[in-house]
Amino acid sequence: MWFVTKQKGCTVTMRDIKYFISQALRSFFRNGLMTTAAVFTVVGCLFIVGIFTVLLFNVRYMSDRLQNQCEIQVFIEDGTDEGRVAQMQDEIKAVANVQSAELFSKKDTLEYVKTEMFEGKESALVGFEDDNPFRDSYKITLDDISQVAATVSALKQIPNVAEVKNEQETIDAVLSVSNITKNASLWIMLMLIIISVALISNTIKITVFNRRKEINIMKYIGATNRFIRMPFFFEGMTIGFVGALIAYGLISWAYVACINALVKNNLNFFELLPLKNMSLPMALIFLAMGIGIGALGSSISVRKHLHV
Amino acid sequence: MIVLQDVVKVYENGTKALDDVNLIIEKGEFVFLVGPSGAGKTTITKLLMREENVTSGHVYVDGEDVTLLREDDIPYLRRKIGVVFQDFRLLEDRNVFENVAFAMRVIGATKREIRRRVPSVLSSVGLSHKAKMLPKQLSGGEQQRVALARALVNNPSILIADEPTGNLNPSTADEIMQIFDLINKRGTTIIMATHAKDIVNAMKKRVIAIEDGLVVRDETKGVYGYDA
Repeated sequence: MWFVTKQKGCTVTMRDIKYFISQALRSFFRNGLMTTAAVFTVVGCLFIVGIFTVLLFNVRYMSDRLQNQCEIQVFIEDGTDEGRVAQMQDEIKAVANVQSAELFSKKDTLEYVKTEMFEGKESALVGFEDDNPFRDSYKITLDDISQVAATVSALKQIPNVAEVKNEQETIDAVLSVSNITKNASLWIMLMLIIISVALISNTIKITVFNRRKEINIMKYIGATNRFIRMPFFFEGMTIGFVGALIAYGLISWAYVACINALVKNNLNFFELLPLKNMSLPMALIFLAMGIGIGALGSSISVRKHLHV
Repeated sequence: MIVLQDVVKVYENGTKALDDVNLIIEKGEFVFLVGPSGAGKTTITKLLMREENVTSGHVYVDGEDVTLLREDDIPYLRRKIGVVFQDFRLLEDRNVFENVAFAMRVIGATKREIRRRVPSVLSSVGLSHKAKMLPKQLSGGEQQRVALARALVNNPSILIADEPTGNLNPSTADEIMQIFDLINKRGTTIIMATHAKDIVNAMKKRVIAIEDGLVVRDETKGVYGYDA
């Protein structure tokens, strides 16, 4: 008897996977109304998740730009000799979170003021070469702007440092927007995920109910639990996958429309991150979330309602 | 061989369905389970399939104590046992061939194996010419033959039938019984729970009578023994 030779085990063949997918698709199209409702809940969920993802990407983009532009200026006490000033560069670089430290001597500063602020009126600054009112300073860039306060405090401990100036308020504002966006996104995403999971779970419950006779027969003829359950997981994942594709298309279209509107209305000083820079990670997030929500929803339903 | 040893089954609601039942059914036997409704006949078939488990005692199928089977191993027990119900339990949206093939498909048979085996089983129950018809296009007797073909397609060593002729007229029931007899002659053990007095009396097979969960009669060439 050929069946006796079949091994007990966990092997899933390509034929099984084809069967699971065909059953999932069959059920996907058969439960038209519930499937559509579940797909569009996933679309709604992922679209809003997408808005927050886009916001997060852009806040991060802005904060990176700010980080690159944001400099701390360390002023050195008047009268510090040149050897000590040069030596201080190493001490500054040794401070945690300091990315780079570039010296601007008082001479450089005077030169900068002359060319940038007094162009054509350089005579007004005659005599300053001998009695330079500026101080030697280091311009410092940071690895992480959120750690600015600690870095400033450490820099102040270095001997011969007169003053440390930074753009704390701007940094605080950007970090605060970034944190609010992150927290709000997480809570809203969580809420929408729960709603989507519940709806998918309900759709699968209906599928289980509609197919109870078939499931019962499968049980009697020796189908394994996995064989009975897998098509329902695949159906949930298909709902999630289709929802993710539609949501991704919609959010990409909306984002490009938004960029075009900003350019058209001369508001392009809000420099948004180009879509291509985030399309791959966003697509992966959408697919992972869509399929994950689908799998979770179906798994809850199958555990609760499918007793094999 | 099937052995029920000191089997007691009490359902969760407190109903005692079987009370210290001891039975031995040899390989290749044809056994009728008779008795009033609620006597415990269906409980015996459910214990053999491990649809239910005993409260105490042991049930051996081909030497294996099925009361100790892990959940994951139950499907493999069921592959040794074909089952036929009074209400046929066919998939209405699939044709005769697909209904029979389904039983092979769920246990992992290849398309080639299915294409080779299903026509031969349909032929053995006299349904080759109706392979493409849907269940609703068939008579009750034909639907039961499809159910039989589905139960047989995986070559089970045991065939359990729960009131298989309950929904059939007498002449159709006789035809179905002839097929069961033929299957039994080829070596398959058959256990049939039934209320069909005429059939039991005509077949002259082993009869086990159960009342209130107790085996009250076990005769080699028995009769139904109750008023129909």
